[in-house]
Amino acid sequence: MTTIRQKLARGVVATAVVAGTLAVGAPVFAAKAGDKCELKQVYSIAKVGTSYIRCEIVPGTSLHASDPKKKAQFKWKSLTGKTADLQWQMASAKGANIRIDGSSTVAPLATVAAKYFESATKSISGKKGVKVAVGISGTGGGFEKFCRGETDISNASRAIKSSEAAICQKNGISFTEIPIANDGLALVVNKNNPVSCMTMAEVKKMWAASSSAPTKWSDINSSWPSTPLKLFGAGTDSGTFDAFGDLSTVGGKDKLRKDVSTSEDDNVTVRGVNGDTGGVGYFGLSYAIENADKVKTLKLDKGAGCVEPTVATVQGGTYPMSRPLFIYPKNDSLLSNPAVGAFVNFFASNVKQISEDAVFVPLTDSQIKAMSGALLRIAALPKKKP
Amino acid sequence: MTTLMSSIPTDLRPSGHIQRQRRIERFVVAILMVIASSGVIITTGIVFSLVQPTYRFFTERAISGYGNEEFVGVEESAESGVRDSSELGFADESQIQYAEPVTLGEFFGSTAWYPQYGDGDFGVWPLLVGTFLIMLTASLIAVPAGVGIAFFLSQYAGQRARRILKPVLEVLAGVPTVVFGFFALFFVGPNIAKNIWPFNEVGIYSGLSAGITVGLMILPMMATLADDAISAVPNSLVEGAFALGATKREVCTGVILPAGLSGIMAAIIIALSRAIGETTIVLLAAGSQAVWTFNLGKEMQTMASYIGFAGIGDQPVDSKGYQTIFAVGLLLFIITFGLNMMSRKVVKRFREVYE
Amino acid sequence: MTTSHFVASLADSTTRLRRNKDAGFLIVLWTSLLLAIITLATLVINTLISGVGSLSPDFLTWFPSPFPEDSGIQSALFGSLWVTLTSGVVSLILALGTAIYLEEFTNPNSRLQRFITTNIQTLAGVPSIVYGILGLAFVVRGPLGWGFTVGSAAATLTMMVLPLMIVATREALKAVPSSLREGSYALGATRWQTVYRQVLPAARPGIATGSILGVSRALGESAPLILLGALAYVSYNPTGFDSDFTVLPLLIFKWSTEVQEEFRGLAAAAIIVLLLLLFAMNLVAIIIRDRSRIRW
Repeated sequence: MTTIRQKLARGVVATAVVAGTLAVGAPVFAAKAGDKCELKQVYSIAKVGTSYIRCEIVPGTSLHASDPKKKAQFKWKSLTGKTADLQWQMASAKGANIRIDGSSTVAPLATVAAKYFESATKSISGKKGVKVAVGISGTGGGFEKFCRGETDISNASRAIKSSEAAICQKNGISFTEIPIANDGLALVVNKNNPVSCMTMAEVKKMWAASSSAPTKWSDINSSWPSTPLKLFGAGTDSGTFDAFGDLSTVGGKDKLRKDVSTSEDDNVTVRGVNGDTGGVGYFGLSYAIENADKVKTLKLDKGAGCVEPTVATVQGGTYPMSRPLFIYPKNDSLLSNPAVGAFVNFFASNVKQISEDAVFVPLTDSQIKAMSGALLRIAALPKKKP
Repeated sequence: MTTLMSSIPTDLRPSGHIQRQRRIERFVVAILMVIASSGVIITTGIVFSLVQPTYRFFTERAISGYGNEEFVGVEESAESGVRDSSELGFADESQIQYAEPVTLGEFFGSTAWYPQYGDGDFGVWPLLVGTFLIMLTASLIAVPAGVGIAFFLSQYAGQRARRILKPVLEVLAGVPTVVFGFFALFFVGPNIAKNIWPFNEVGIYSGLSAGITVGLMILPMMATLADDAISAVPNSLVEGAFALGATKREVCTGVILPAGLSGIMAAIIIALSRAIGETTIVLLAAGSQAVWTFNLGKEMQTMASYIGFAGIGDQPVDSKGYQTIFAVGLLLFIITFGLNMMSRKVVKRFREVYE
Repeated sequence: MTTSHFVASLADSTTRLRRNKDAGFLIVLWTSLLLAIITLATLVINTLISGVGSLSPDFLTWFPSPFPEDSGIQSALFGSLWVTLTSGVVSLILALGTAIYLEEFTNPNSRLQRFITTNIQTLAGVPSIVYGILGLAFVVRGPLGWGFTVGSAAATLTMMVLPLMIVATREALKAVPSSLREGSYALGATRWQTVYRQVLPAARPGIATGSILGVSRALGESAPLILLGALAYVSYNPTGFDSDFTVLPLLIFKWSTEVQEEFRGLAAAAIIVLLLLLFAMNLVAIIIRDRSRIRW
């Protein structure tokens, strides 16, 4: 991990445009390391003497803990040299704007990153922090805007398609693909549903388009109740929908059944399944964890027994329906707008904390290695547009 | 005017001051004319922005894909690591897949509406039926209650009651639709729609809760318009009926209702057209499934809510799925336009009778 | 039973029947009335119950956040202010121009006036979502290509409220008695001088109330903006017409679809703020209307 950090730091230094003096704005907090801070200040930086402190979430506590004893606490922590490097770059990016758009699945992650990044830049350069706007147009919609040059970063819950990359190329937009977190697709059912585990064959039977598609739970497995089946799915131009087409083993999104209530917004599915006894839907594991009190997550069996979707099983690949999530920064933005480079670096170097606070499955070590490669590559981008 | 001008003696011609005023006058009129044309420009814009993409929807084919794509999983992402746009291979022309234009026959002849799946199904009937059902539910609430309130205001309420009731209606009419949407989602759905529908278990989203709420939303408008229609009924008719010993009810149902019927009809039509065009309430409360069903207890989409739904999805521009926004929008525009024309026709007839 | 008896009992029973029917009818009317009042009451109470807990000074000054604990509405408030004021001012200018032209400079029975009037009536009946399509095709993309910015939203809402504003300002101008104009002409004023110095000041209260109602429509509207491209997270106030932004109705829409209970409370709290704003605007309109009621 340290080596990666160093690599990151080096990449950062290479992309830093201006290494001016670090102007810590309004010294609002007369705090020192170890003092308490609050949620609004998380990732804010303050100068104490000659060193810097940053407001962080105390390890072992969590924003999403149900146990009140583990509820998040916030404390100032000293910034060590390597992390402090990042701040130089952020200081040079004051007042800039970043436009992010794309997948609704990745949006919560990007939103948390944006919030922390804004706190950090604001505390460094006074009121004028970097302004980050995060939109939700779906993965396809996001790429559409991205390839017309309207956004700096596109969020995607699947890899870019060659059709989309072709449009980008036609418009002279080059970009870098960075896996930023993982997500398992969770199948969720109503709390009152007795079913707790499904085989992948049953999943396929449930979701595949066919003239004899099941209409009741008992149509799939005779030992299940005869409650009518009520399917909720992701919006049909979302990456979640694409991914489910592949991961559910029905053989691509075109083979999914159509009598499904679809929405771009995963919350629609939570509400729907929560309100309907025979309801079943799928969405990112993060949502399933966050809404564990409203819906029940099914275990899945691809032949090696029932596997519960957890951070570990998704990262390890034993859970059958897992996928990576991506961000796509535009290379031109990385070169012309130092804030974009700073944001990507910030996101990458704090990805574990950000993933945890946004309830996402963090990257595996090998993915982090791959990501650090991306950052080095960004650092090595030619200074001028060819 | 010209003859008058020519007969004016030279020394009485407008002074420079007046000439300047005339120039100002002409200038002002020119500017006002330009401004007054803004409405026409907007109408042209609406028609153009709807018709052109709709025409393409029905006549041109659209790119639907570039050959089969590989799925990138967790392991692949770690292996392939980071990709630069320059490393992505591009499909050549031969791999491009096209979607054929949608025929009018399919649009109006099919009951399957799945614009985003594979080749897509583009039968608009589920949306039409959803629109109709929600409009019907809304009108079952708003029409009788609206006319009832109008009768109450005009015949039963004293000055003081009117002074309280009118503002209540005005406030209700001013409540934003997103607020009604919130109300539908968290109050009407779970507390009312769920308990009154006998045919199936009503889920969190239903045409019923959306329809009821849309009805409540258009109620004040319906009441105000019906009140206007009732006040247009000549007083002599009402007084004559009272003189003959009729009760208030008999005056309402026997005299005012038939006499003001065309005005009330016009009010109903306008209220209905408002219900048809309502987007946010339906988008929040009726779900996102456009299926061929007549069961109000199920999820449904209206034309308007589909446009909002597809707009959030932001499908690739130029795909058939994206163009549906415009085709459905044009249909919605034509229907509401037709209803408004109709209400004006009805009003005209009503005026002829009593002027 | 004799005939006279029969007639008497018949008369008696019809009177009773009539009375019962009258009572029944009154019950029906009361029910309709109660429906409206109960709707308003339930809506307000339901919102208050879920929202009051989240209302605080911080709620007004904080920015939207991914965490409900520190979410506020400042950027949405300012976004609403920018968009509503811009569209209010622009549509008022356009509506006034149109209304003056139609009322003061054209013959009421002329073809031109009838054409423009019909056109405006048509526009007033167009569903708001269709204005969203227009905005998407012409302002956000297409010829103007402004993207999803304050400017695009204001332009779209301007087009949407314009017909309402025109109708309202025309009514205000119509209410000015023609004797005032004739007096002005008799003193040698030109048409424009008459309009500018006599008609407009006299119609000012009517114009003010009309435009306040138009602006409050723009303040509460959500559907066209959803179509233009709603943003999920904007934590800063607009700085210009090319700024990213969010508005209160969009934030309410977004929070209503969030699952966490806390966001529902936030949505309700935002609704309270929105309703208070609308209520205040309507109050101003009513005060203007009552204060300046001139009897001609």
